[in-house]
Amino acid sequence: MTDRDRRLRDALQGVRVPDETAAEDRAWRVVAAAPVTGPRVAAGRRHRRRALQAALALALIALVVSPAGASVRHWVAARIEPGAPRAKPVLSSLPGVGSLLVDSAQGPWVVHPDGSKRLLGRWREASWSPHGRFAVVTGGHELAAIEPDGTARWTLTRPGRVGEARWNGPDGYRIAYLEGSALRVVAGDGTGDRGLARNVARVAPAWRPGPAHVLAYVTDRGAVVAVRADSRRGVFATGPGDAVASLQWVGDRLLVTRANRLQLLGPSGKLLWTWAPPPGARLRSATAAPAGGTAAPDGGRVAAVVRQGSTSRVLLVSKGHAARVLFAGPGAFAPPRWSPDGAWLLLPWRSADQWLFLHPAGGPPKPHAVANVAAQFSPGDPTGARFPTVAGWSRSR
Amino acid sequence: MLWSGGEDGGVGAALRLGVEDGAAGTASRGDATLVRAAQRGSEEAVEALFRRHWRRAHRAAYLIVRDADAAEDIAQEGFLAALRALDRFDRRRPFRPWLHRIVVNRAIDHARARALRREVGEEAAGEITAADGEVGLDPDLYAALAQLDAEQRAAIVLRHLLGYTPGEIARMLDLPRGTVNSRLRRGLDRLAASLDGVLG
Repeated sequence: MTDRDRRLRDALQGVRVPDETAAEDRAWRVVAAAPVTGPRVAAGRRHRRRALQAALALALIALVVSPAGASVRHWVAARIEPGAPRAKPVLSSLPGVGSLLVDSAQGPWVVHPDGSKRLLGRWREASWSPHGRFAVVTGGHELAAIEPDGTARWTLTRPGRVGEARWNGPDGYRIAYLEGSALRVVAGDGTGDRGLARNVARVAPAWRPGPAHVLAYVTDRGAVVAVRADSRRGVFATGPGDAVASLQWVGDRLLVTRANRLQLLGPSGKLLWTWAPPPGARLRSATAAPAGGTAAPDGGRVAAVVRQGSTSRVLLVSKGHAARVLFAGPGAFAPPRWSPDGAWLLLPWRSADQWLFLHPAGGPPKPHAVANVAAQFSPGDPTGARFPTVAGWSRSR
Repeated sequence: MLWSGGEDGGVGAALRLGVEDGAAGTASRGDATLVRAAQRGSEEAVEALFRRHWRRAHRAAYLIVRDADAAEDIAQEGFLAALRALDRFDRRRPFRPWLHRIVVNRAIDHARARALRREVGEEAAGEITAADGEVGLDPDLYAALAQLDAEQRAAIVLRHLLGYTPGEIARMLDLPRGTVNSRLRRGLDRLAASLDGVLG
């Protein structure tokens, strides 16, 4: 070992993660409550486990006793393990309609309503076409349109790295994607590729539903811009702002998820509504229910994931109504996805390695839970399995 | 406390070694005892493994992703994944590199994904500045580490924080040894160029 190596080692040994003692306590609470393989010996530990469960239950009491938590009272009860009870060991079917698109370390998968699935190839990201007949995929320098069986209809290679491709709807005539910090548009048949804007933030662009081909994107200064992609005429542009995580059109209104707040913009870019999580909680992601289903016309229902300490919650948020807790549990939730008809919400629970299918508009209070998600999308690599990302839920069958 | 011996099949003795991540041979023997006990169902052994390995796994994840919240999630999920797979774990192999492989690969995945997709709150949480003395790392060194890509940071962390050899790192990351050596060399060159004052 050289002297330089030694000094670097000594420097790294001194690192401290901010809040690391509290983080260790939070993590242990989650790990301790997790099911461990094999017959665990509880002798001498039951009192400690009960004390731990009581402590975690207290942390959730505020949710359960509040009116907002009433809907989860039935099943949260004292159930505090990272994982829903009686989860199915494998995904055998999807509730509701449509097929899922799931990005994994091995590539994107299509998951059909009967639970069968197909790996589409070694692509990094995928997104559905408006009717789910195709997917647009990216990987490295390549963009491609493929059929649900993995057959490529066309491919496009660019000098820079491409990603965040999104197909417009309902006509499917345009695809927007990012190449580095440039926004580009190509026709749905792979022709007419051209640049539309530069200095764009790495946020997926969003097409406004309809024939006008209006595209929203975020600049590297946090401004939100809407433009008619065919004529390049601007529709609106907001001022610079803090980081944007996602854009989503709900009819002709645009939901903007920024650092720790949601904004709803009207057709001309006017700010219609803002929502922030409760004090002490951090907003992690937000997804609006699809318009045209059961969504309200004023911006619809938004599933917002917030994190406070070791507990994550998914809240149902809508303009003019108090936020309602749909689900709470220890650990981390990934961004949820709505079913195409807005009846179901798929909540990926990373810490529990589970998917939960929630039914926000009434229905059974207990979620449909599926366990062992990472391994199901990493065949042949059980110990290195990574939790996958749900990229889309389409009406396609 | 939990650490008395007796019914736990030697867990208490392993815990009394008081080793955290260091002295590989001794730690491995202690880990093997704990893993065996955990596989038989001992919750004390699970806690002992967690307490023994959490801090370094957490710090390793933090140095790679540079986001305290994400590092907590990654290390926590790494432990959960390891515990879920414990019944398939080959006790003849050391536990520590197996856990670190899981955590570091997840941290690399996260850093890559963040490079492609900006997350909520990244500006607030992602970048630690020189003013953050609580990190316990020279601010210039931290800034220089931030200039490396995630794969280089991972190699540096595995080599210089966790103490693995280039050959071990190559096996953990499923990379040719030459690639690991190259990442280490380039990473160190970039750190040294930025930090003559710190690293000499």
